Formats: sequence, structure tokens, C-alpha cells
Amino acid sequence: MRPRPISPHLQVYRWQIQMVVSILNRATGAVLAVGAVAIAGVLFALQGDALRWTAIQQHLSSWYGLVFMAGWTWCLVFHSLAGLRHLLQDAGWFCSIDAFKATAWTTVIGSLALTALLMLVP
Amino acid sequence: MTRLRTPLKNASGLGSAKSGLDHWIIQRLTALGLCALTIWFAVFVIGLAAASPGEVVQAVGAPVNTILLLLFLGLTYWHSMLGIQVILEDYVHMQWLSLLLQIANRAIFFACAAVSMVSVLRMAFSAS
Repeated sequence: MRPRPISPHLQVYRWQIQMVVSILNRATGAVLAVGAVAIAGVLFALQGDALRWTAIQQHLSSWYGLVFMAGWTWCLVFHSLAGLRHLLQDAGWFCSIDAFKATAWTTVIGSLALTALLMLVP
Repeated sequence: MTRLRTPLKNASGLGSAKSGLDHWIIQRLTALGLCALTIWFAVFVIGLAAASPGEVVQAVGAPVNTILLLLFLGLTYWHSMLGIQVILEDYVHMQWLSLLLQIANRAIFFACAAVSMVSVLRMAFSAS
């Protein structure tokens, strides 16, 4: 059987904020899934020897650790806000085109602001 | 042998898939739970950023923290597994590879749940 036609993908659409948020929601979700595996690794390491926490702290407070944590934090904040947006839409709220755009921009700007706040305040 | 029937011919008339709604519902319910638990987890971890190893074990061992950690881990791996499943369904079209990755997806997140939860419990019970 020859390859079946598949539906048009990213390349045929004009970029708009709704699809940016949709794509980033999936991408950040995939990153967070990998991060969740890392959390299991850290917990396993700590139950073996809690002193390993000191080494983890040293890595995370270095420049590359901070870049890493900023990226992870943004993924977490973005996916949370985008997820909240989806839950509200599933409940029937914010379902006009204008509302889709407004909540999408709120998700993007809010995620950047919250990430900056979380990285700078503590 | 050439197949003249299209896949649609095999599928039409069979009705809906009969299952799958639970995936949609559980994805949203775990998301709802994670809204609260993720905020708690972030605060918990930020609070431990400067803590000593002993303090970390003590914090994990506090009963409320142990319970919330287990809930957070359970919902996180469940939600992750459902999400990765959909991504694989969307992008992996080779049948044998798709099957392999779907099994691997489940195996990895079940393993993560087991490893992380046992680790938390071991720390909790070793904290005095």
C-alpha cells in the first residue's frame, strides 16, 4: 500500500498565537515528562545517600545549573498556565476567538513574568 | 497480495471505539490535581534549596509532606504517561515502532512511579 495522505502540518499555516501556545504546551509537556523521570532519579539517589544533596545543590547553584533551572521552571509554569487555560475552555469559558487570543497572550507573558519572579525572588 | 480495500472499509460501520473517554477525563482530572500539588511541590523544593541533607530527609519524612509527595509523584507520572501516549499516537506511524514505544512509555513511567515512591518512603521511614 502506498503511504496514505496525512493531514497538513505546521508548514502550511500562517503563524498565530493560538497555535504557538498549543505547540509550546505539547513541547513543554514532553520536556516535563523527561524532567519527571529525572525527579525519580534524584529521589533514588537521595534515598541511597542523602549527602548527595550537597553535590546537587552545588551543580544547581552554578551558572549552568541556574540556566537549567530557569528553563525547567519556565516549562513548568508555561505548561501549568496553558493547562489551566485548557481546563477553563473545557468548562466552556473563554471560547470566543478574541478570548482565545487574549488568554494565549496571557499564557505567554504570564509564564515569562512568573518564571522571572520565581528565579529572582528566592 | 494487493489490498484493494481501504482502511476505511474495515473501520466503517463498527461505531465508536467504545473506549478512550477515560483517557480524556483522567488527563484533565490529574491536571486539576496537579494545579494544586505542583504549587505545593515548587514551594517545598524552593524551601529545601539551601537545606542540609539531614534537613531534606527530615522534611520528606514529615507525614503531610510524605503524603503530598506521593500524591504529586503518582499524578505526575500518570499525567506524563497519558501525554506521551498521545504524542506517540500523533507522530509515530510505523506500527511495530509505535507498539514498542507505547509499551516503553508505560514501562518507564510505571518504573518511575515505583522507584520514586519507594525512595520517598525509605527516606520517610529513616527520618526520626
